[in-house]
Amino acid sequence: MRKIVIYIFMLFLIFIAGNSIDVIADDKIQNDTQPKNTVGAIPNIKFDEYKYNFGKIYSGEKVTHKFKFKNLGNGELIIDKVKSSCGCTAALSSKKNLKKNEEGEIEVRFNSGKYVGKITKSIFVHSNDPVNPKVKLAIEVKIIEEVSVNPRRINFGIVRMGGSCSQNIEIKTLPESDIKILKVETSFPYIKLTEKNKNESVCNYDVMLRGMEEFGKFNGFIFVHTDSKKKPRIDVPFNGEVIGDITYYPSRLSFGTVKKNREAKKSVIVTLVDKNVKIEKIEIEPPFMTYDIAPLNDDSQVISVHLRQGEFSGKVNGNLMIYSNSSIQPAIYIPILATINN
Amino acid sequence: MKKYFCIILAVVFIFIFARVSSSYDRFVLFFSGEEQGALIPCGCFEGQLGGISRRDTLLNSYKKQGIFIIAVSTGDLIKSPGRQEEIKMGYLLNAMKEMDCLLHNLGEKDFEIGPQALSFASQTNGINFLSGNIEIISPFPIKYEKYLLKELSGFSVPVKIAFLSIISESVIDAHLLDFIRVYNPLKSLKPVLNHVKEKADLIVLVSHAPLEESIEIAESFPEIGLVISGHDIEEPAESLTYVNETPVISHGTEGKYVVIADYVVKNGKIKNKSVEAVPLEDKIEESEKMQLLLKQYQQTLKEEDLLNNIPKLPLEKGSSYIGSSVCGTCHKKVYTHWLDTSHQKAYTTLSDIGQQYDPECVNCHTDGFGYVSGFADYETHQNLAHVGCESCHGAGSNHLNNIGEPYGLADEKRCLECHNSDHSPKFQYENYWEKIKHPKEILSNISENTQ
Repeated sequence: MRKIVIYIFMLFLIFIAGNSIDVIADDKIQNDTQPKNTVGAIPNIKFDEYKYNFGKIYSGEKVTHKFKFKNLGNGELIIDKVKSSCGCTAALSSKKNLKKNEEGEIEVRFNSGKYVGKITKSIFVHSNDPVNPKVKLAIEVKIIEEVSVNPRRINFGIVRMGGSCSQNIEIKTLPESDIKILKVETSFPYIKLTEKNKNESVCNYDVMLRGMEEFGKFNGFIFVHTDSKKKPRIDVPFNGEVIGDITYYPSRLSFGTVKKNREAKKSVIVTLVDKNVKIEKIEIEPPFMTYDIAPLNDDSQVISVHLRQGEFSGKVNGNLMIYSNSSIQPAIYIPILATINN
Repeated sequence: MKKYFCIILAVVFIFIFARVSSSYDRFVLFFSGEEQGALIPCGCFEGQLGGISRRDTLLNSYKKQGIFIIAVSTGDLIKSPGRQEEIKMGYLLNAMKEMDCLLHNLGEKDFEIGPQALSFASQTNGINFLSGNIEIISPFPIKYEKYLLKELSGFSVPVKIAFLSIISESVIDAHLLDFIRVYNPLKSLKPVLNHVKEKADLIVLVSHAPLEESIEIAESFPEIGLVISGHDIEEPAESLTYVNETPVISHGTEGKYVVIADYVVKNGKIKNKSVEAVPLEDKIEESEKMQLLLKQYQQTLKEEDLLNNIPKLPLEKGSSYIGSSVCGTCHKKVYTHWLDTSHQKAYTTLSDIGQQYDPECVNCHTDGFGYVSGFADYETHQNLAHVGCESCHGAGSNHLNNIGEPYGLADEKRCLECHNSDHSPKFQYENYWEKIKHPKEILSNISENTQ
């Protein structure tokens, strides 16, 4: 009996010991986070400034600033690394090892690239300073454009065939730059550009899309020509889609590469834009493909296409064919693409 | 003796019972987002962060440890409209489905894809879309919720987490207002919070707003337990801010970091153990499943022939691209030197990794891509593959037709179009210039070669 009691008590002690391991582990983690090198010779990094404002610069310009620092400690200061928050900001240290009272510099180069507006970037200086092992430096800059166009891209969205859609673009020049807008043009035949109100530094254009008789997506550019040497031409992309009585998405069913004898499914959503239009028949080719339909609401339905290829291997170039009573879209062919391999 | 035995046994049982009943469960919330089309870190140089492949590996490392994990996508899968972005959105959503992602919060950039594509994405991917203060007015049915209440199973006590969502009015572009209405986040959150605060043990807000605005929301609603915020924060590790006890943190941009919020459930209460932004570094192994998906993505780009379907810009002064070997007819010494530079291998580095059909990559690995007469595909424009003469000097036809017409001079600005912060952060003009600097040449037979 006594033996049993002892065994149980020993088990109990082991159990408690298990708990205490957790505590030890926690202590260890805490110790690891304590600053190192806190006794003896201690380096101390001190910057003259921690933030620098470049003021205004033009888009595309590059600027440089040197952050000066000193080792105020009595131990050797070692700069481990200098890291910037993004690649547009390069930062280099003039020295890696600095003795007591020695001075160094962190050179920060900022490339504005395509940035516009107020930008703040951070630079982190990692060193063996036990109190400040990671010092944050910051640069601020306001990037301005000689000529700016708003919006930078025009999205006409979905336009009914034969319908029209109008958008506005605003072109601004810096008043002090004396830059002139020479011409605003596009080679896209269905877009008409009309100058609206104009003053010395702001000009508005009405961008009217009209008369497109072809279904599908369209895109192109509007060109703003200026006498700026930095940016003589600004390209404003535009995009949209012309739809008819029926619209569908995506425009093709791409299965990619499918392993032989594996089933695969892709879906297309078909929407009846004209309430009087009805789908009369749906067909699919090749024959080893099947489809099923699930309604989403009164106008839209999901057609799921299943690839059950059996023994077939190689490239599939099929079609999902939707027939309707629409006079402008009596038949829609949605391409089906797949590669079946072993 | 029997008496002592009973006492010890009782003490042991009480201790064990107390230990078992107080044993905690653990769950992890895993947030990623603002990919802005970055499925992979650009392979142009080593050490870049991010990618769905590493994200999957990291996520699975928690699953393998038997930790309950909820993955959340916070929004902005793409950065602009366009077919390539649509394809990316599809693949990113497929990736999230593979990662058992619970929800996708709609960011303002997701709306850029347009109502029809968004309808397709919301109806066919099986992932819950969330948008708390947006009303979508679209002829295409878009499925989304204002909030989501998730009950975690397998815990010693029932655990319910409410996921709320807002988007800042300040980040919505005017053209999006054609099909969405944005309401004030604070006003929109109030009724939702009243509804969920009694039901949920933890309230998480996914906020598509500048950090300052998210902090303001956290201050207004102390019942929110965690705020995942944006917007455009490049150094997410620095973003962690506590509003009272509520952590507000960002996962940064382009999917480079994920936020991992670790919770314990102890004595029926949820306690936050840690919140941190974790970088997806190259030491994290690539996931085989995601690599396969990325291959499929490249295959789709090829099938859709995107290279030939992008809009093309006209060139100035009616010039056109002629190809490096044509330049080499006269500029023999320079051309021979170029053949030994890395620029001459630029296209090969892409085709070697199967990304030669990706317009985003091809742009910087060929001559004149995206311009009339520039590179469109290898079959028809072999002479424009690689970074040739005209990448730096501009299209050469005018100079070919009239040697009095000078070709463009290469300068740092030209280099920076490709050697930019994302793809070539180590770029130093002076050092890199030495690698491609041409030898001096004497053109003795210009007239006969330009006939």
